[in-house]
Amino acid sequence: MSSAAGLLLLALMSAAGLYFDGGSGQHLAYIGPGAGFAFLGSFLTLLWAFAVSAATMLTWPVRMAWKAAKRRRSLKKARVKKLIFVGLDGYDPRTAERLMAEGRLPNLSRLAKEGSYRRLRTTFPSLSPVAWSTFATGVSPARHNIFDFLNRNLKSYLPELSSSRVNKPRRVFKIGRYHIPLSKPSVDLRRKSIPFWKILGQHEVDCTILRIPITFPPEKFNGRLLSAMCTPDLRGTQGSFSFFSTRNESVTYETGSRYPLQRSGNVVKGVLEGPDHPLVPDAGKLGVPFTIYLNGARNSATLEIGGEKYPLRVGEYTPWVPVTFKAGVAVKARGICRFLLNQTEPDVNLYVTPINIDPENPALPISHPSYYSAYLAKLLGAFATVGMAEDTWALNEGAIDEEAFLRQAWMIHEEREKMFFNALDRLREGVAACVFDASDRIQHMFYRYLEGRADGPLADTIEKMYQRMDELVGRVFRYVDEETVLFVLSDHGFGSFRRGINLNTWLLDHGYLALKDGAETAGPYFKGVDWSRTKAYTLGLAGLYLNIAGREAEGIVQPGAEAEAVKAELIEKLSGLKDPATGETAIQRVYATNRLYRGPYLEDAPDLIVGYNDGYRTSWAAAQGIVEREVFTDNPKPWSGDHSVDPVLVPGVLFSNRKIAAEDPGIEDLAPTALELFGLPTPGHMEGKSLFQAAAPA
Amino acid sequence: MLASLVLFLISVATGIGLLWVFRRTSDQAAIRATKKRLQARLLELRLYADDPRVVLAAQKALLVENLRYFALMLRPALYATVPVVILLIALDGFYGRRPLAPGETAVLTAVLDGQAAPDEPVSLEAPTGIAVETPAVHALARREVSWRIRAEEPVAGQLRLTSEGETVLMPVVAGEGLHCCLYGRRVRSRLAWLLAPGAAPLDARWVKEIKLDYPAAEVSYFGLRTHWLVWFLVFSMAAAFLLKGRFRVTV
Repeated sequence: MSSAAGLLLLALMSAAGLYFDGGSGQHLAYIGPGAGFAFLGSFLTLLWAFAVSAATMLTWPVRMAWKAAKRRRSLKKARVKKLIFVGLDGYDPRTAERLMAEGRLPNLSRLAKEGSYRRLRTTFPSLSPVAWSTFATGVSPARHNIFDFLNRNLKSYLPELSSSRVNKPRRVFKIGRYHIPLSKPSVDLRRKSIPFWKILGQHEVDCTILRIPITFPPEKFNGRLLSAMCTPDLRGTQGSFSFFSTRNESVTYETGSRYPLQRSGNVVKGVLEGPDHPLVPDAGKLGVPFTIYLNGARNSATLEIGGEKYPLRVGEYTPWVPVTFKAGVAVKARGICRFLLNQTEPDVNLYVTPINIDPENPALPISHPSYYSAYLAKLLGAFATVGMAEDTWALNEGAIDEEAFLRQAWMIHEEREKMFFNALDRLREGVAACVFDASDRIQHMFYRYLEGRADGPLADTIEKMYQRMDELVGRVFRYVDEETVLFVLSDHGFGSFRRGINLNTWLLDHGYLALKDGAETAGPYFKGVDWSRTKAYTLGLAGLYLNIAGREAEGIVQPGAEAEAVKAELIEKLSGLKDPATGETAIQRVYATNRLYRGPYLEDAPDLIVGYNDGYRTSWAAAQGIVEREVFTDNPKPWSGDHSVDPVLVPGVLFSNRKIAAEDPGIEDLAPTALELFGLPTPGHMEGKSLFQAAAPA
Repeated sequence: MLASLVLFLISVATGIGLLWVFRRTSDQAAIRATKKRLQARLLELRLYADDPRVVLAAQKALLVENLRYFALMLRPALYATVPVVILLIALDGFYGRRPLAPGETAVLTAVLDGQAAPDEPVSLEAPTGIAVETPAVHALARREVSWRIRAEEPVAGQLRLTSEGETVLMPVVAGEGLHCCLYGRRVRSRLAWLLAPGAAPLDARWVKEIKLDYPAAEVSYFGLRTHWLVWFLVFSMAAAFLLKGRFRVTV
């Protein structure tokens, strides 16, 4: 053996835990392969770290010079070093103003006093995917193509997710029952236009964008991004929980699934259902078996899943539990979920959160760069990745109680805070933006307490949430200096949801929608609707569509004059619609989208946007394309607050540490403002204006 | 061939055994968490490559995490050291030395007891096939007496060392290939005997230890010849690496 090889071998062996007595060549100690791995791993880690660092340091002057040259060209008019956005989804100005007046939001009050506070105009409709897309792009929905959570397929009238589409692999190799994909599934982002962080990245402004809705799949840009709303769970849904019980009864959930548990003494077994088998189309879903060992009457148990054990206590969530669904050799999908033991006697009830894509090993891209989610998870711990992570439907359908929902929402909020402060700690120049969703979800589920329709120990939940968000803002102050601009904003406000309106039923009653075979009702997604006699229909939360000939597959309304006439009729009849049971105005106003927006995607917009009054909203059934007997129905669900009403009623909030000039700011103004603060002009396609520019006289 | 197979099996078994020790004695959760943070800091170097401040902070964190990682490894390493050292000593008796080849020389040394006179005459008598090339050489300070012997033909016999009327035997082997239980030491102390457990203990008043300096052996796998400890390391690490997932061990 050559001396060089010998030296290498000696180094490796030493690294591996062998220690030699140099004189005799006889070993004195050997710690074994564990220590060997440890030493080698650490050694290589350090070696790699130093190599990367050395490369970073050596090339840094060149890179910095290049960037500086590039920045000098484009950012010579930059007015700030740092720009921070704190997004508080659904933070309502009315509640915030009341609490500020009561002195309960000291940090936001300070911002309002020393900087600025305005109510922030939201989008039409006032929905998070629409409004945050406008925030990102500075354009109206007709230019970014997001009009609702759902859109309808023009051929089938079936709902589609408006923000993204997961496409199956283009090429598949079939062997018997196996369909082996030869390419990866692709995911299309359906939001159009350009987010401001992409433009800033092109000019070497460092941006970290965390959980801003409608960022799945993540777009490539010069910065870091973690996807948010509309990121699916591992099953491909927008978040479907699992409920397990030893009680043998038939229960159907709208957004979750119920599964049996088999009990034998103190041992309870079940199978956690995952995604579809990726290789065998008819093989059903993959599953991971688990066992619960009950510990007598102590309200505790042990969960064993995937070879690991986790303690369970009634009413307490487990940490994120990794679950691996195996479809064959080297074909696996990794997810994470939390388990909540609801009760152990007389029946065992177990709730499992939606199976989130594992951020450490994501089955689909959920961040840019792709390893950014792994970085966050490894450094800060696993976190929820599904778009709407707080499981509102589990509470809506009784799978968990209010306290369990709240704990879940706050755990997710804490994860988000850790990520945000991680980004702020590393921000020297550039943008850090994060949207916190707990404010929206908690108001959806607890609004009846705020308006006094319910009482109990959780009656002040919303107010406490407002205060907690204020504390968060207070902690962000540490990162704000003279060269920093801080914006705290919400995409919309909030209102009550006491009564639902089924506009499909109203359209049926008024001759705009027809059913087949004289039926009086129609099932989900227009099952039973006679399209050959239907002029208008509603689907989703805010839109009303005409059945336009040449656009919809079975359209009958001619575009142009006839369509405008139908729209005018509907606007006239629906605006000011009264609820006969209460005498209240249920619909304030109906808006024609071709008068609201201008843009290349106007064709995809609903033809009308319904401005419901506070207390009203489209009914749960109408949102799914169901035709019921009654137009007006009570909303009995815990989901008692909403914002899919007339956008004029639910503006958001806008706080800033700087004085802003705009008197009536809109959410579309934030993107041009971000560009302007870094000295970049507003692109021609953007419709907003910088908040620091005084509005032109009318 | 059989000896190579046995070494392979022992190495694999050792790897598995050490995985078991690691699983039982280490804080697996802490090791996992530390490794994740280490990986995160490496990713941080890439994510924030343009910011020297973050890069330096990541480096510092890497060092701290490495120290923490070593600290976490200490306990299982301590548990593993004692049995592994005993095993290696035993294995070295099998695989560490080889018989003298014909024509090859070796040094035979007798370490005298402290009570004996340092220049007390010691005679050496070799079996047929082993030649004593030099007279006894006394190292008075170390209280040692040494001879150089040479193998003339394959043989397995006894060297006879006599002093104060008392004779002790030292096995000597010459020939080809590995030879089981080839211990080049005999010792009187029971504690020292632990390092040569296969050798017969010495039971004489005038001598504490006898050493025969056999040449180091090499073991061959896949046409490659090297010290047995290298193969032991390779096989035990490979086994531990391949099976750590099955044993749910993080190292």
